[in-house]
Amino acid sequence: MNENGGYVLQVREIVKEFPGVRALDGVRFDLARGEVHALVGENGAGKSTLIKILAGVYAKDEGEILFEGKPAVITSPTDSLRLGIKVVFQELALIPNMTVAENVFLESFPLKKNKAIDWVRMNERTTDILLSIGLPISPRSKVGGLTVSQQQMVEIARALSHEAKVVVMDEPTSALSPNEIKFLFNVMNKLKKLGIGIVYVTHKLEEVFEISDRVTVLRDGRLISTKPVGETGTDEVVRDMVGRSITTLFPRTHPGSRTHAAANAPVLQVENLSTEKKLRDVSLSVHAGEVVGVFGLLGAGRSELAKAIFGLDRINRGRILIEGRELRSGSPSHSVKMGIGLLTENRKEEGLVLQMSVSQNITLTSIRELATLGLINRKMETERSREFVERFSIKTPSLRQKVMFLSGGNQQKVLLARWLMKSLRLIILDEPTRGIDVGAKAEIHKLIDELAKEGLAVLVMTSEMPELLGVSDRILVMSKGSVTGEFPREQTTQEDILAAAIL
Amino acid sequence: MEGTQSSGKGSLWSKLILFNEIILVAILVTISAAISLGAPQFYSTTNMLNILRDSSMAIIAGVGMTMLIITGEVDLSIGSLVAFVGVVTMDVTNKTNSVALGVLAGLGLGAVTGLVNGFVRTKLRVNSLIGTIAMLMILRGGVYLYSLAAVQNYHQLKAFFDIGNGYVGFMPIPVLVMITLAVVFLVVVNRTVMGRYLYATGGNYAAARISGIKVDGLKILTFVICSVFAAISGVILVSRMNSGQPNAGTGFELTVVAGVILGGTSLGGGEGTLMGTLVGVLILRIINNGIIILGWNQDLQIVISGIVIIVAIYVDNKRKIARARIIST
Amino acid sequence: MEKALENRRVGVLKRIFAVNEFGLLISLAVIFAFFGATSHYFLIPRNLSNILGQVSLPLIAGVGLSLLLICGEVDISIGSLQAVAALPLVHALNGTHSLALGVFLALATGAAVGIINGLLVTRLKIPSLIATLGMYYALRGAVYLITGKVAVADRSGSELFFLIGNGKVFRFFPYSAILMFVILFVFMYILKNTTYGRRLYAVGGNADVARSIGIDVVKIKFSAFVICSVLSSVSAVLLASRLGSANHLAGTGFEFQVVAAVVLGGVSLSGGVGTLLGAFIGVLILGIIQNGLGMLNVNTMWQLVITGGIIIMSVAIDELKKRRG
Repeated sequence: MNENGGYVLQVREIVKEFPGVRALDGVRFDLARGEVHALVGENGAGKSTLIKILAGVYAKDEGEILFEGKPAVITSPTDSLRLGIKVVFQELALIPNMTVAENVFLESFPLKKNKAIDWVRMNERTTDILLSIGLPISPRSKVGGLTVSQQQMVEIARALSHEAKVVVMDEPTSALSPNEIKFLFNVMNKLKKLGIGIVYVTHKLEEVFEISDRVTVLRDGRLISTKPVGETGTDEVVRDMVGRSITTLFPRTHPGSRTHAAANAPVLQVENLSTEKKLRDVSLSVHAGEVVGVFGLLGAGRSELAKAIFGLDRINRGRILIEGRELRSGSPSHSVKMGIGLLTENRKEEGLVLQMSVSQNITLTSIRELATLGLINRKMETERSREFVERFSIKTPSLRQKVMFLSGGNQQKVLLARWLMKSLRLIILDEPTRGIDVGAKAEIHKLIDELAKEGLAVLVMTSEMPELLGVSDRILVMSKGSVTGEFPREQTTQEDILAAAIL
Repeated sequence: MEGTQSSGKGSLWSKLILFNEIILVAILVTISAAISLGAPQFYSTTNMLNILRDSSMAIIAGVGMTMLIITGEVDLSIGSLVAFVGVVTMDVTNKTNSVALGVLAGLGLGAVTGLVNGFVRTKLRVNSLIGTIAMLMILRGGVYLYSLAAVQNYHQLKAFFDIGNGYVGFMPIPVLVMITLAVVFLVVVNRTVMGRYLYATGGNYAAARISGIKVDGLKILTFVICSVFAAISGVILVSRMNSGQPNAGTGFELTVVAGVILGGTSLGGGEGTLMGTLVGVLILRIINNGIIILGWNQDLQIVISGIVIIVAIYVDNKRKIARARIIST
Repeated sequence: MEKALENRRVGVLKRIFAVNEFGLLISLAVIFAFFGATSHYFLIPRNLSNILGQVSLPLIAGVGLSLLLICGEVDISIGSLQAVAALPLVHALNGTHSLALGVFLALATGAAVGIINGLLVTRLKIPSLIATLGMYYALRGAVYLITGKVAVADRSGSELFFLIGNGKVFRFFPYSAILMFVILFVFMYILKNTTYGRRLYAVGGNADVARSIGIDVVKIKFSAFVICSVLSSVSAVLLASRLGSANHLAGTGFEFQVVAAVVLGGVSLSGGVGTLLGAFIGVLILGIIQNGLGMLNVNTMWQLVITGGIIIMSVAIDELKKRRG
């Protein structure tokens, strides 16, 4: 092989550090011309850091990047684009109110001799590019009105308009239907034939084996393996990703003490729930003392379901019953009164009041009960807060510390404590351990277990398979706004679940 | 284990906040000293009392405005409201010969304005800055429609005169009202459930809503409180001016908002203290008083208020950026 | 291929019924008909000519403001600018009898204010609504200070100065309206056919995306502030010509009038949306309402109330449109 051996992109010994964590620790990565190279790893493995460095959003601390054999300096998105690297992120970089053609040529509009925009040429060239990838939409349509799949194609069209040599796709199929995924793969094959190298970041291992030529596994910021797809299999890749067998990671629940929970009347009953934007005819039930895990890929509707059950979003059709009584939709204060709690997936945006103290956050929902005639009983507030801080092992220098200074795991515990200070019947947890380190994760899982033992009905939304299998008694799978499968925890495999998730 | 942001940074922050109010008091003292150098009569007891009594209106409105800004909203219509309230109060007192009815009418107008502002914000989802600017126009037009000329005092009732000019012992009545309302604020905001809800709603609307707080109702209530407090200062003003003038209050909202922000209440919501508002408003009032005493052109007041608002927001922004940097790590 | 052609056909039809402008044109026609029917004096040529003259001021300023709104910022100091920019104009006229110098100084003042606004927002990171609110007060106060609240009359006797604001072609078409159309068409071309114009939309639509493409967001916003202020000072010159003086009260309420008009015309307060055609129709609608109400002898104070109501209404509708996606 000659110097760059047909590699369009080479990444060597890349190191990237953030305060407190080494996101990338000496990672190597190659991309050949006309190759689809999959990049996989758990949350926090370093995939998104790596592609952000390629995109020019982050600057590497150490290491080198070679583009077509020559050292490349990428310090800004413009550098990356000029080289010929196009990264298609999940949040598509499009201007919704502008047309397809304008978005495709956003970096540089074709101009006439008098410097005016050559609309005719721009529209024609856009049509040509769109045809070449098989997308028959008008260049004049506004991007905001297109489907996600079509919008993705517009981004790819933009890459083609710049004769990009490398296209990076970040979780492209999370919001696509199977047909749209097939279409995407067709387009990717066309790009391959043009000699474009594609980096494909995904959680979905079946796609890795369907579309890519090689697969690289990252774990905890390090390169674990790079292998041709034909020389490896799902189990090996999963083992490389996780580094340990799944079963020993999460606390064993005690099936014996909980199976009889199902015999009781359900605390939560959802009947034919539909909302305007996402949910289609969802029905489910959760009993006291039971943990029901809800799995789904991105866009499946888990968070929408959580919010709809809690009463944050308005319901089009169907009803929600809490212990037999119907819930009024659109009124969170009513839901709280009925004994429901919701831990959202964005603890900073929708959970914590960052400028308030630990005890103020913990007591937020139950402050009425700690007050007489409206006046807060400070002593009671402090006592109750201390109680929960100790019970949940929340690490904080004092009750008066502002929660913005706590670590992610402890912040999450503060939110859990807030809800549990109220005597609830049902608690909904949406991605309860997202962005939290392994140690705190285990603590939270133990807490969930205890909650169920105390008789609470627990509904957990999660996109992490091991967590799902570890904490749930029963598993529901969602896809595109509907429930597509229900499984008991025993004897259910990842494949069963994933199969239902991509229906 | 991820390190908790150590208490080192925590106490640095509390030092910075405390620092903020000490800085304000220092500014207050410096400006006062400077003015009295140019005009020695500044430090006389009469002038001091005058300043306090003149500031009472802005401070009363400032207390109500602070509550509103804590929830993350603002009300720029209070200037026009003050004029309208003055005109209506004088007119109703004239027509019914009852001070009580006149004051009730004025406060009622304030309450209705607050309700509308709250409705426009929570149900029509119009940004409160723009919505209350529109209300400013509606009220200003409205007051001239109600009465083109100033409404003179035909009733000559002593109670009316006393509101703005009378004393209880040695304390001017407006100052007494100001102190009472300030105490109410302190209790409500710092020690009650409602106060906790105010800070939560302003600090994180979504989180407060999910915690079961009736956020929209709370905002409407706070708009009403702000307007009613402004109406109270409007009643005091009309008593002192002895006539209901439709062109009163121009620029008033600016002094109040600028004073509140200067005092450390952030326009972003979720923080604000009484002490800060007090000192902030006082600084601006003292500047105004100083301009008059030094014989400078009074229109400087508007210019200075405009500049102060820009500077105050700039400083406020810097603090927010510094805080955000801590949150993201 | 067929589908692409089909889309093209649909596109033409859609363009005619483009929600924003079509609905607006209907409203305009209805309002016009209403006043035409209810007042004898509405449809006479002299009144129509007056209307053209009246709307030319808010429209010229409105073009500048629309550009700024489209890129995601706002400027509510343009009313105070009407008074400020007139000062050097009239002083120059009185002192040197040179209209050219006066106009140049007025525009330069506008540019200076635009630069200050731009710096406050892009350098000091102050939200534009608040920065220009502060300038709204500071500039107005400055005018009061400088003039001592006494209007500065034009004593130059300049015929040309009188004509730019008051003259008409064929006794019908005001010069100011001709200027208005020229400015309107020039900027419509710029918005539609130049890279700069499209970048305004991009920055207003999603500044982060625009930045990641390499667009200099700061430069674009800064330039929009300056253009807005300069065009507002053009309107100030015309106003001074009509008043025959630099009046300290000039432009009171102007900024809210212009904002209400362009938002009514579909220019969104949140940026990235709107056309100058829509802004034009919005200004026309508001102008005709004001003229018509005057014909019906409705109090000017009601106009203030109505304008406030229209602001609330147009912003509320804007918000609704945003929510519907």
